[in-house]
Amino acid sequence: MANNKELIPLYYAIIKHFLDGTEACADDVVTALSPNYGNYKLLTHKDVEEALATAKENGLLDESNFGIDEKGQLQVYYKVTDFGLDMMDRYIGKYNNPK
Amino acid sequence: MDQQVAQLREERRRKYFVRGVAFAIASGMCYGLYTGFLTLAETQGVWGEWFAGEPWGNGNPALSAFVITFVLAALAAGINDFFSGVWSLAMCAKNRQLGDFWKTVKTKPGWIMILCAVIGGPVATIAYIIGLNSATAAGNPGVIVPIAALNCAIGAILGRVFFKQELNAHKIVGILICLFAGALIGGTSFAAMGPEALIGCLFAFIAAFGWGFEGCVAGFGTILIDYRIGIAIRQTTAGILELFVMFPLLSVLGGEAACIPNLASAAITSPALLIFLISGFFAMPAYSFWYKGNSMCGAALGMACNGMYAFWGPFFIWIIMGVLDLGGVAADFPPLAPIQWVGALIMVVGIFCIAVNPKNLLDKRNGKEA
Repeated sequence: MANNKELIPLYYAIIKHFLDGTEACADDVVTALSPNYGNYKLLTHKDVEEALATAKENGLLDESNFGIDEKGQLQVYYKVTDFGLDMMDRYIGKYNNPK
Repeated sequence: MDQQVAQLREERRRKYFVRGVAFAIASGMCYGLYTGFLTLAETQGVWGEWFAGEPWGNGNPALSAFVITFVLAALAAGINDFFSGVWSLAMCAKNRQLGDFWKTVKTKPGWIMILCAVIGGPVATIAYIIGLNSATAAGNPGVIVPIAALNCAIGAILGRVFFKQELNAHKIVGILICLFAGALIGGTSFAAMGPEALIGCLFAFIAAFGWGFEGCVAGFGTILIDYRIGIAIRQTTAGILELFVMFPLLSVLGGEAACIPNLASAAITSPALLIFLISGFFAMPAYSFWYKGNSMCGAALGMACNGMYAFWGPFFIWIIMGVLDLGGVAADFPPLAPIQWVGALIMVVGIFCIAVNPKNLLDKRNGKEA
């Protein structure tokens, strides 16, 4: 697990999860980020879902698919938009987590 | 399966829509409450003596017109925004986001957020409070709030001019409605209250310009920031700049550098400070509920519901100061004239037209995807 101090802000990490064209729902993002951000209070299904919905409203992401999880809850899948790629490239492209 | 997904999606859409609209409306109400409590704070304790143009404290001479107009506005804006910054930081601390806050400040989107605060704070917020104070002196502070709400219309125009953003027919109609409402309110204020009210409206218009411009700049990169962190950066920067740059700078410009420590210490020790704590508190959800609402009901509708502050501003000033008479000066805070309430509501309609394409709304109601 990387040191907290070296990590980029959680919100950058959430959006950058989609950088390579990955299609993901809130639970996927939580799972993918929990090794590094496990101790962050806002890495929950609810907060990540809100972050993704906000990113969608801002045009960074788009809803791409829908599913149902084992609890019968709706899962919304998101994908990056061209605008989102451009914004990430221009403004947070150089900020990355240590490999 | 598909049917179940469709049903769950419909449930989610409806739930988000209702909650989003509720949050966006609440954000507009908080904006009105923030303006109301700020106006209240400026009538209490030493602030009341300052604005009355009387000797204040223990026999200090009355302040000059320049200090009353500009320096006190910077001081009030600074105290309010600084407190709202502190509240926002407290929210970040509660969410254990302070580490991310500091990291974000050091990245490009963080700098852009600071630039937004530079435009929106020292320029627009101070102009807003100058407007509020001039209109208070003229007899009715409420009238300037809908004028300041023109920032939606100005933002749309500036976005078109500088950033080549598209301007659809419904936006143009909305802008025209807003300008008409602004002229209606400004014109009737002038007729009823005289030139001082017009000065208030003029400064409110400058505020609208600054916030409209801030809105345009905010589109660049700040959408990449968590909104709670974004607000904390915006408010703390604005508060610090207003208090530690604009307040002394305006004092020096007015040739009253000597009054800086006196005013600052009187403001800090005045019980009115507690009311600024409340106005700063409401300034925080005015922004954060807006973002939260946008993420649920859509940015366009969120902006439209938030724009109801053109109405909530004068409404809460009237309730807090007039009806409840919390400041003990109710007679100075009458409701708006009927025509001005109508103007405020027309402004809300105009903002709605800028934000929401009526065609999309109808399509959505009929169950089609916009």
